[in-house]
Amino acid sequence: MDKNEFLNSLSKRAGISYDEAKLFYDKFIQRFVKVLKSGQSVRISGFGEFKEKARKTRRVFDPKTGFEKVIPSKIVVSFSPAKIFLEKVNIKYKNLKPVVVKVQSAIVEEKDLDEFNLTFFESGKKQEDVKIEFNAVEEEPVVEEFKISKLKDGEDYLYLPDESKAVERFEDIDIDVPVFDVFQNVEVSKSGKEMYKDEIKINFEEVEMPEFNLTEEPQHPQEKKEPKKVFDDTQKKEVPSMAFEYEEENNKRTGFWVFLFVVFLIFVGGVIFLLNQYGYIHLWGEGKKTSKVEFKQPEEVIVTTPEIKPRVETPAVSEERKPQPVITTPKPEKPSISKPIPKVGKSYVIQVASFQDKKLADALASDLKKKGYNAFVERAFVEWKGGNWYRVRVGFFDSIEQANEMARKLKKDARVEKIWVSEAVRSITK
Amino acid sequence: MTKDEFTKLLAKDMKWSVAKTERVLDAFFNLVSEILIKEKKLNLFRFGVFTVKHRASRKGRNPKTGEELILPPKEYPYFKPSKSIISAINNR
Repeated sequence: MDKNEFLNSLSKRAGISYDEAKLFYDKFIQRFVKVLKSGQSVRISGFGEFKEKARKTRRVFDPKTGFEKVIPSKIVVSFSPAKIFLEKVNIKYKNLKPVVVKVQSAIVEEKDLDEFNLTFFESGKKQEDVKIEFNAVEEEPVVEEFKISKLKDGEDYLYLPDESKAVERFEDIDIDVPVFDVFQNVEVSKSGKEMYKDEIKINFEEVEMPEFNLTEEPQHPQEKKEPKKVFDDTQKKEVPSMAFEYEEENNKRTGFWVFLFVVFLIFVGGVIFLLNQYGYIHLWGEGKKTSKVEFKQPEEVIVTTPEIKPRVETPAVSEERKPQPVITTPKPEKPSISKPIPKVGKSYVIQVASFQDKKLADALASDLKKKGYNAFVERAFVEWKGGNWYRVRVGFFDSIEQANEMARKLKKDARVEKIWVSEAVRSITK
Repeated sequence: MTKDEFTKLLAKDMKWSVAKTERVLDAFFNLVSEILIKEKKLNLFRFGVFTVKHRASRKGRNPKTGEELILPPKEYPYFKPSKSIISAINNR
């Protein structure tokens, strides 16, 4: 892009003429040089920082002439871009992040070394522990010698003298235990880390292999060679011991599973209890009763009021009267019943106020009844308001318009500020 | 020196208001950055050359934990000042 194009686009962008842009460009460079000359840096937020940087004198070998050449010291302008600008430039690689190839933590290596050294020192201090570890390595020769004694004696199977012999030999042998070899290797291979690791690993394998042999090999020769003469003693001693171990293991596993099962049961029980308490499930009856009681209270009130008397009483009365007087009475009463009770349709209720004391609610309801409204008290359980609330409500309306008209009247009569109309299912009243 | 101080000095040179010079300066650097992102190179006569160079991905190492990493590729803007600016700065 040429300077002219750049200045054109600058003039368009900034809303100035081309000449102004040209003048600005010249003055900008002059001022820029002046500021840098004074030794200050120009930091422009969102773009970067221009800073002057001194280059030292250098001596360079010139291949043409074959002599050393001195390049004088120089001041250079360095530009370090701002973070925002870098992000804008690197929008392509926005989602790329450094990938971990090898987890090679220096801390872990140190731990390994410590553990290894500790094992060596322990072996030096506590010889008993080491014996137990490496006893089994050299049981094989001991066993062979037992046999010889047994063969000579014939039928004597005493373990006591053999064990004492074995212990003595172990003490002698333990000093030459392979742990010492491992330590020597460590000292030699401290020069390079990678070599160090490999050698340690090899040594571990050498040390550990005999341990595996302990469990398997030394038992078999004892089992094979002794039972030839006496089967009962060996079987009685070994088999029950093995069985006992298995039982212990099984007990541990079962205990763990039983514990899990108990925890699960407690969890499920708690969940069911909570659900029942808050009324999502009705298993032990209290929840159901409360829900019924809530809606039964209005019935009692309604019975006393003049308007609803026919609604509630008539269905019972009319059914009784139907068989007795067929023609005379029911005709006028039936329409009165059918109008106020549309079973399917919605009905509306005006809520005048709500109290936590039942006495206050009853008092307000009785006042409203005296004035001639169809008021009743309804109990509701509200969780987030903390328990039972007694709502004072006024009678049932078929449409919102009727309810609103009644609400306006109520506002004047009862001097209540807030009144709202809500839907209610008519079947509740029955 | 921050942009505020620089604009005040520039405004004195231009005999413009500070607000206008700031507006023009912002437009100037925004333009530079936009053109750089699009075309990767901008040659401003008597000021210098802005270029955006590609840095390939490479292997690195976290000096704290010692993990070996493959660092993603990156693009980095460079600025090479013009000869006139360097000569002006060096002749004090």
